[in-house]
Amino acid sequence: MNDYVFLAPRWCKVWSDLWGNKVRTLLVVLSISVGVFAVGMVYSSYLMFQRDLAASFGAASPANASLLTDPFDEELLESVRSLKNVKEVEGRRNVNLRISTGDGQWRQMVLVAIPDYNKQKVNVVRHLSGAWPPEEGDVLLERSSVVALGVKKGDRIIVETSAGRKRSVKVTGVVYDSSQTPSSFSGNYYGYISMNTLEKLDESRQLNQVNLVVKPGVLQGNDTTAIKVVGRQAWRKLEQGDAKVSWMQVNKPGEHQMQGAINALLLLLAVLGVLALFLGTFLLVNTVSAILTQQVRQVGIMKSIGASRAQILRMYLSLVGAYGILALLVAVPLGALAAKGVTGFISGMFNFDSGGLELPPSVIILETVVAVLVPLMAALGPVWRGTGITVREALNDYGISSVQTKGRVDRLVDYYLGRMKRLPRPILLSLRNTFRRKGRLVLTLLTLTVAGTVFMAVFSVRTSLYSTLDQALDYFHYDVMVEFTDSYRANRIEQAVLEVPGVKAVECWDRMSGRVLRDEGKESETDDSKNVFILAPPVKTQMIKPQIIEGRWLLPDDENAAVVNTEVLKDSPQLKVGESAVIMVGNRKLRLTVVGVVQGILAGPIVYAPYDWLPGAVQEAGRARSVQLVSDSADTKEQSSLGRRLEEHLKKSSLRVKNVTITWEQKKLIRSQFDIITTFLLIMAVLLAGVGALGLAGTMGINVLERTREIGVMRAIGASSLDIGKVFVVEALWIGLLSWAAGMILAVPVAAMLSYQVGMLFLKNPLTFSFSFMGVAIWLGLATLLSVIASLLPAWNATRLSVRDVLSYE
Amino acid sequence: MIGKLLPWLTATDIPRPKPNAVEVELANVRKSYLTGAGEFVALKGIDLSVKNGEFVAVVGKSGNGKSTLINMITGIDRPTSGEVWVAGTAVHRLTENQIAVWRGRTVGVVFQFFQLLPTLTVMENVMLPMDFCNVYDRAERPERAMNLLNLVGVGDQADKVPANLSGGQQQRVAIARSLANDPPLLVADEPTGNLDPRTAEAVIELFRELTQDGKTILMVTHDEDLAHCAGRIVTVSEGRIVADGRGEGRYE
Repeated sequence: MNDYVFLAPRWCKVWSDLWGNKVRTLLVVLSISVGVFAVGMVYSSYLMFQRDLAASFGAASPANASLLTDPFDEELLESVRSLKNVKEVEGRRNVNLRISTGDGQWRQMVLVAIPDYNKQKVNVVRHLSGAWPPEEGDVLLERSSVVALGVKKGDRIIVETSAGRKRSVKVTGVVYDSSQTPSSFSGNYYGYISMNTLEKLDESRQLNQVNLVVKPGVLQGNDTTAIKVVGRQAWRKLEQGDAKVSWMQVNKPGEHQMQGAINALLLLLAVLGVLALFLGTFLLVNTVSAILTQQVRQVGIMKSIGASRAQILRMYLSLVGAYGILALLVAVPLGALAAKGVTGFISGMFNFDSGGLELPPSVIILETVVAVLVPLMAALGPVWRGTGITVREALNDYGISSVQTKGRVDRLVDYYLGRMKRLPRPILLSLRNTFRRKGRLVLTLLTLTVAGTVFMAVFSVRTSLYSTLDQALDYFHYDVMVEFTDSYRANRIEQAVLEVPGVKAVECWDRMSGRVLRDEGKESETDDSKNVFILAPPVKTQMIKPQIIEGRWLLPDDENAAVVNTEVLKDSPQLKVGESAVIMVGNRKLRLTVVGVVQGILAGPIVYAPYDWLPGAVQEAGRARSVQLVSDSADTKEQSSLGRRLEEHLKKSSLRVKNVTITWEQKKLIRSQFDIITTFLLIMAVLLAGVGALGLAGTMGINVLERTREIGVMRAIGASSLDIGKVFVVEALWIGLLSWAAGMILAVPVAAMLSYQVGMLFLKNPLTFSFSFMGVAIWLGLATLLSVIASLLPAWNATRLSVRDVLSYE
Repeated sequence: MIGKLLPWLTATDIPRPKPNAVEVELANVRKSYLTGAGEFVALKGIDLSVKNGEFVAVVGKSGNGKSTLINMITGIDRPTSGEVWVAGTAVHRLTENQIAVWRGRTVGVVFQFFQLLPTLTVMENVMLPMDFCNVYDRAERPERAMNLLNLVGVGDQADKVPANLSGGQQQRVAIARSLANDPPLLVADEPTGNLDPRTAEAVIELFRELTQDGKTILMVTHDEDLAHCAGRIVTVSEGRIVADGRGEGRYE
């Protein structure tokens, strides 16, 4: 008896609705959970990123500006330090050298020499393990390079010096440099050495990088104007001291260089998270409506024995609230774990420390609101309608049923189904059943269609990313590129290259970096001068496939002609076809006439000039700084092997190699970066597909319950279990196919929009849109599979009903 | 605003019936429905008066308006015109929500198909009206429910769910439930329609005992024999009361 005192019967009913139908409860809880999980994961990740980036990046005292220069003596730094608004300044030496580990493969490594490791104040490199600071002849590796290089403490690395000599350095420790993009992501490797080691590597004890921090009082929020002013002052000071500045990088104060990309990723996740929440809410509305439809009679009974509408309303809203609380219990730990995974993954990718799991109250509050309040608000409509029914309507034992007429959709369905005379009767029943509950059908279709649309659109974004990449790399028609540390005579390079078996075609190019000047009178860095790469291929090059947008490509008679790509025009919009451009290369001013504009994709700002003219203009006539070649084999392994053999041979021929780029490896690296974006999108798309499947399973479960009597009748007139199961599976399949067709139509504009946004967010350029038919095919397969899976349990439940069960069903 | 909502939420303005003060009064009650075939008049100006402690059987053929008539009394349906007074309350003037609370306290309803909540136990089904109407103290309710179940002879089935009971047992539980809030009026629509003759007789015997305890009972039936067990028989035909006379009161 005490049990009854503890829990009033009406709450016993709520409990039995919750616990008595575990499959339904599970479906509703899961559908709410998906949305709560997604929203919680994204918000939690966002907060953890803010915390980790601030902690990891802030601890390293990031530079506000970095200037790359010709080598200079340490004393020159004092003149920069004396600038009014400079708080801290430090110099470093970066050298790009070829290194070889035990596997015999040569790679490019950035070796950083810091004058005093124990007195670092800007872009602080943190000691993680092993020796500290690096002794003479030692190298400490950036943590991301250790794994990528496959070396361990005690291993030796062979470094080829700029003088062409080979020196051995020992790996003695591991450091963390938050200012570097991890090796696995960037393809670069980083080593940290002492100034003494620098000398051993045939480099002078000079610096070529200045990192500075401006005084906090000068900064206004994350505005970079003040930093640019101080940076330009430092630039002038350095050039006055004969250190030519080639590049200035200005960072937003307190913001990680990857903050933009991380925010873009989170924005995408947030959009998909909210979408998952909406779909979960649709599903909840569907289920709550169905529960009330199924319990109309019970509502009537309760009213007939004295329950007021408010009491019944409270009961059903409590049920929804209970679903929400259960969903919260499921989603909170999962969301936190997923956020930890996402943060760990991205922190590894962008090289910052993840502070581990944290569940701030604001996340719990948001999740509670999403899990409890959103479903309650969504359910209010169906619950209000459902409880508003009169006893007479609910019990419907009046003897006069309302006249049911068929609507336009029913007549249309009947018309088309009537024409399908060859279809078996049970299949026709399934197809007709699909349109019986139109409100429910619309919500189920909406859920599945949105899931399918996003799924297919994500595939199209992936294809668009790949085709943008293909298009970018297809621009350059060579398999291997070798850059040299110096310029060499082109015929010497060609001769050496052709001695290596497997080379089909070869072209020597000159290449250098420069700055486009807006005002010819100004030689030092101003807002008006922009960095560009200058490439000088032969005018009849077979290794560039330019897409001319305006003007023309280079011609044999051209001398100081230039073709610029669209990336150059973004920074220097004043350049027009037919007008001249002034570019500073080293200490020389080159005046060129722009003859054409070509499409630039992912290649950065490039100015093309004729090979027959450019080397001569910089006093290097007949010489080249790079060689591009085509392999006679299409096999990627063969092309990589050719690159390695070529490097060995060129070194033997006393040509000092700066870098060897294998096109397909480059493509693979960029693809893997793109895959990060698409993986995130796909995870969310799969989540949405899961919600869609849950929605369908819920709908089919409700349909089985509603048609219990119908199943009994079919059983009574001889339908086998297979026949009954088939009715529901075919109905689910039909819904799946309808949603697939609707999703396919919607996916085209959504994919175009998403591709544009992803392109602008991550590449600052719209992607080359390409619709993925593979995505359409995969979703067709998946929608079919999900439909079958979603209907199997309800169908199985239907087949288990006996005529006796059905007759006793209320 | 809250003051305006309170009556709706709690229905505190519903008067509690005085013990044995029930009087059912129908004055010129008319009920019509709009159907696909036009207007259908179910009740054509019914006048009926039932005094306290009466056991009234409403008889007639199917579709002639008996159920409509008692639905007017229970407030399950509303008259198109005319007045319905039960225990001094103008039922026709109450809102749907007020009717629910009023009904819970004033009228016990017994249906042909028992209409027990399938997910609750027998005991919980009987306690449910007390819970909704808050008539008895919470601690008192289980004991009262058990007493009622014992009264109708199914006390040993208290912890079972309705599906595990026979039709007769379910109807007894439904009667126990209708008595939960000790209403002065019991309305039963074909209470024996789904029962075998022996069980049906037992139910009628139970009703007879209840009238002896002061309850007023209105029972719809198409079974002439059972109708004669009541003290008064009201015959409805084509929406009108065509006969109103004494029954044999066979069990009295």
